Amino acid sequence: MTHVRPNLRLYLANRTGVLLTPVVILTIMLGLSLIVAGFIGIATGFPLPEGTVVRMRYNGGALYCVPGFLLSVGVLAMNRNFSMALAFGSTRRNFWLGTSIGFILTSLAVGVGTVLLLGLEILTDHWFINARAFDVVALGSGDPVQAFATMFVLSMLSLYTGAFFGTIYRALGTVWTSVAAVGLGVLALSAGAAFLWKWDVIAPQVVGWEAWFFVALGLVTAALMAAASYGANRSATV
Amino acid sequence: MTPSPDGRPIFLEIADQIAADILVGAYPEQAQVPSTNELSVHYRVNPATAGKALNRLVDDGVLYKRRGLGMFVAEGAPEALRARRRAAFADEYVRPFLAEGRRLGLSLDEITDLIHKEDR
Amino acid sequence: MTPSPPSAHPSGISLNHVTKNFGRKQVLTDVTAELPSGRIYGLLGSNGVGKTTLMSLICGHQFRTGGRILIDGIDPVENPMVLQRTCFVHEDQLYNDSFSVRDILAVIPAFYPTWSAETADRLVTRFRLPLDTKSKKLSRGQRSALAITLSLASRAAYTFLDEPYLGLDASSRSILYDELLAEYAAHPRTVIISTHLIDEVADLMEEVVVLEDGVVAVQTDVDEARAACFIVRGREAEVRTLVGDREILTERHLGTILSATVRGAVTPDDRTLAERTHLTIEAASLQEFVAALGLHALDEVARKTEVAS
Repeated sequence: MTHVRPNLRLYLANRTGVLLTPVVILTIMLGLSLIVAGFIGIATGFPLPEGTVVRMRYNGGALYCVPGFLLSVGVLAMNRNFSMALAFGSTRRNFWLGTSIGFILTSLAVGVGTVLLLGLEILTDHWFINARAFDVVALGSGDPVQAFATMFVLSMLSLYTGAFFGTIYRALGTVWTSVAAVGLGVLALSAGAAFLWKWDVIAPQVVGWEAWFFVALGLVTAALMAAASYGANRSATV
Repeated sequence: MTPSPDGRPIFLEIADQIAADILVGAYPEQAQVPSTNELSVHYRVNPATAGKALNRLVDDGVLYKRRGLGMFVAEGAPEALRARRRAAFADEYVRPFLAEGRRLGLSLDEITDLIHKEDR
Repeated sequence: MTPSPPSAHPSGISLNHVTKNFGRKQVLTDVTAELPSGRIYGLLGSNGVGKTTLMSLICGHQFRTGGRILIDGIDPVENPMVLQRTCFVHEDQLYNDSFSVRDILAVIPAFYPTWSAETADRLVTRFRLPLDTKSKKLSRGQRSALAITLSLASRAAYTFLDEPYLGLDASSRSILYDELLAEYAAHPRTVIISTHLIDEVADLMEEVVVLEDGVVAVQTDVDEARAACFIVRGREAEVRTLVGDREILTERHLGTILSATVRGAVTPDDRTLAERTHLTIEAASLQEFVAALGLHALDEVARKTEVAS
């Protein structure tokens, strides 16, 4: 643990970037959702009518805004922080472990931030105008545990995916990174296609779980990306 | 420290400088001379080089080592140095001087005249 | 795994037939050397000969193709106890762009139990490092100053300096040399400096390791290296007579005058002959020696290619 801690501190050296910024992004997403809701309300009157509310229940903004940024955090961690860690005598394994703990902290921040904003949304009776950004189907329709779990898993998946690509780039260069990106895309699409093809077999199994199914899927994928990034890290050079 | 044109190792140059300092009285007999580290920082050379210079002077009997304390100027060192330099004077200065004079086609008398003129 | 006490292992760096290929290109073909600890080494050689590669292999930044590398008797690859005693800031070191100098100086001490805050503070002041500037905005000279600050303050037992003076003006280079010697004198450690500015840095070295053609061409004490060759100049016939069958590293012609860099030490007979035949003999600086070795190697390659074709 003595050798893992410096790498965690390295990750947290820019605390604002890795802990605060993702939550700020969620807040910006909230702001944009409210602005859009505001414009709709000007036409339809406040509070927003049932038809709009139904549509807003499917607001996936929370799911879209976070991955992009966290992907880049993952890439930079593996690219830049990795170079520094090796220069100052760390092993690849300890770097991966320290950075992973950092990823957990970032994901916790996102999860907690989501729950807090969800709480605020419910307390303010949906921002006083019946607008929805966090009380949405994608996050479990107001269930804080599911909202936390979904955002936590999504964050981990984004971070490790970024880390994986960042490491492939370090270990094998530009060409292989493109190959990996294409390969991953193909894999994801085939999995999605197989999924839909066998939907009638899968659906009954899933009925009890519903949205938790996707959390579980996300968790498995995140674990796979974590393992992939660990494997790639072992061959990475500076 | 810039290397001398005839490639004399730096540690010998440093040893010579310390010997010269002893000759002018900067370090009287039994006085302590600077340590390896002090010399290293002053001349901006590796401490091993400074150490070699001091060891050379110990070998030559100019300095002696006192365990745990450092290097000190040996009894009679200034006279010994002066004697050694007098002995080397002919080889190091006179012979090359005469060789150059002959290369320029000067006669012994002309060379002697030059010496007298400079001495004034 | 309990770490064994340092005294149980021979200390220093041991390189045994180390090879490194990049694809089909062989950069290091057979590097063998023993580098006892506690000395300042100069790692010299022409551009691209593999100095940085070798240092990267020793620190595990790159993986060797073949051979063995040991630090204090242990294979350093992925060994945290051994690696935490190394510090190798690359000449083109990547830092996290969003980190400021202050951020970096706050984090790196966590990697080194031996870190000296006092050394770091002193160097930041002497080099006038701008603490609040982000790493990506630093000039070339500031990056070098930062690298030196981190390397010296780390007090790592094996410190590697990769062209440490790039971008530094003359007064900053003075600071580098003074601080390096002061730190080394007070807290001895093994320092390996890879450099092109050979003559300026030569006085700091105790031993030189010259890489040429993928192998260690020369490894000696710095004074011996400086005496490793000399330059004799004069009329070609007389120069060749003096040289005899000794190896000529480089030749420069000016009409009938030949200036030859000859491998070996100057003998008293050489001096007598030179005086008689009006030749001048000059010591070659360490820089000239290494350059001559490099040019000589290039000539050999060219000659072999010619013979083969």
